Amino acid sequence: MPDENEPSPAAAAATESVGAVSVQTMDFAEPFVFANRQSIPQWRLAYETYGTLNADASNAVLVCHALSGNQHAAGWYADAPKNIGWWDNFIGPNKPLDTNRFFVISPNNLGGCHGSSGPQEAADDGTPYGSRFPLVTVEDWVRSQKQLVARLGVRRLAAVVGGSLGGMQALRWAIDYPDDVDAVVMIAVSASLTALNIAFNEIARRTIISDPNFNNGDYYQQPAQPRAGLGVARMLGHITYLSDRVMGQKFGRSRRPGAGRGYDIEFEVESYLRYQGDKFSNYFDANTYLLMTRALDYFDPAADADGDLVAALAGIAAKCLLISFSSDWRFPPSHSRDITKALLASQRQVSYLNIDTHSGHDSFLLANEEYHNAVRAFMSQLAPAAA
Amino acid sequence: MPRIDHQYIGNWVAARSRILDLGCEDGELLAYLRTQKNTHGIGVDKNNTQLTHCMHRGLQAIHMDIQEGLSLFESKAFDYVILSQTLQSMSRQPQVVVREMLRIGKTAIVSFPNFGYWRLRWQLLFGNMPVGRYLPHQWHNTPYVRYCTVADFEQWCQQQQFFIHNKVFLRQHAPVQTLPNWRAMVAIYQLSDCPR
Repeated sequence: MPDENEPSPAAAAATESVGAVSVQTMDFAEPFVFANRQSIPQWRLAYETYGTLNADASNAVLVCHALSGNQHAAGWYADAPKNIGWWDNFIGPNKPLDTNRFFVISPNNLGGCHGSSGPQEAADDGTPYGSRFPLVTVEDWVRSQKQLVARLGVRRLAAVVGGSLGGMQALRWAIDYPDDVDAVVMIAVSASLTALNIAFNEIARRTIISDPNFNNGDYYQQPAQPRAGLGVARMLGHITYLSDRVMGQKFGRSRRPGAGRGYDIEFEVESYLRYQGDKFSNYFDANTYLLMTRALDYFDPAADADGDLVAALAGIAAKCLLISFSSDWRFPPSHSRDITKALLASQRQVSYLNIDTHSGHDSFLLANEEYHNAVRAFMSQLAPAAA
Repeated sequence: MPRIDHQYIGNWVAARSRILDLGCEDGELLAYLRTQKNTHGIGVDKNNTQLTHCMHRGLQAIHMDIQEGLSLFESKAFDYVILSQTLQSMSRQPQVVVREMLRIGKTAIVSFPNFGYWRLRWQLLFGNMPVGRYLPHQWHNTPYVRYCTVADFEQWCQQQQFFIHNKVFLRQHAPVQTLPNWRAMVAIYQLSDCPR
């Protein structure tokens, strides 16, 4: 969910990068039928790849992005060298997801706004889908990713890896394609959102929907876009990815130079949040934000098994790794423990680590030695030969 | 050479059994049992670095403070639940942990340093806190909070109704047959919650 478009300082300091990368697209000429039976007549996924696929196509790893993410997970663009991928500290030569060994596929999800089919795209009548784009679920994403992976010549993935909403996709992969994925890594994840989590998402959606420029989602052809609502939604989300402690350390009660007393930007934390909101609303799409938060809300694999998470996960064949962070109050460690417990109950292969951090849910994007070493150790046990 | 206490634990363990090791450290015991008996082992520890070593060995590793309960595990999910050289570090009541071990496992294997070992008594007699192979720390830096002798442990098992199915006492390189409370450096017990 969090701040994927802002590489951490550790990412910037990382010496080994996958280097210059470019966005690729895959077009599918047949319809995509969503879980709610609505469909689009043809569709496209934007994606990036890092590393080299080996001869028997056994070293492919799928990386799934979170709420505000996209396909640009590692490296930089030749024409924009400062645009570093959101998980660059994690993916690259000798990094936890080692591109010397693995071929990494990083798509932009269906409904996204970075090149995959989504509300911005023109429908058959030539106008953007807008409000007509179907509600998308995690299951839909996984099914579309499966088709992308197959087109790239990969029948069986060595691993699916993701944090937050990305980790939910990894879990769904393990459930839906038990024969086609060897391992899943689920970081800062949850098997279903709590009422508190849905409440945060609902407030974010209300700020977007109540923006006077939202126009029921059909705003692309207007001069004014619902940026203000999207910005506030982002400000709210951003807070929930941090922690009281890390915000205290970053901003405390520091005030802007010359700040008065009123409703202007007076505290540093206000300035930071407004900056984050403005920046986000300039590159992200309000409809995509609505779709992604709804996909989060509806994710609940146990619901398919009458609320029994053990039964829902009993068919998983992949080796599972779960990692949680002590300061994450959005998807707290107890959520990862619940999944671990359910997997253990049906004797699935699972390892679980809880990492002591101060950075909240955002910890999954930061370079932490214990966290990264654990992923390295887990990945080292997967079999595929290097390319 | 595998550790002698690991070898004797291995003697009790049936081939292809399911094993949970509480306080598994770097997974040495579980890896040894896997090699010897083709067991399926899961390691539990609260130290992530140790758990990462376990994963490097291809073992399942679970982060947990065993003193906060073993509720992650179903009843009778394991053939053996092992508490190897960990009893002495547990600050809370150890009977709670052993009872949980017997809930999730068919049997429990518990090993600990014998504080009654004569060299330790000898050191104390001359006025110093004992230090030895299985008690390697000084009084000021030891993580151990609970010391017991073979005699104490057996009395405690009787009080708690933990039934002793097997026991072995070890010196540095060999088992001890007589006078274990004096001569054993380490004691290993196999317990269950019903008489045999």
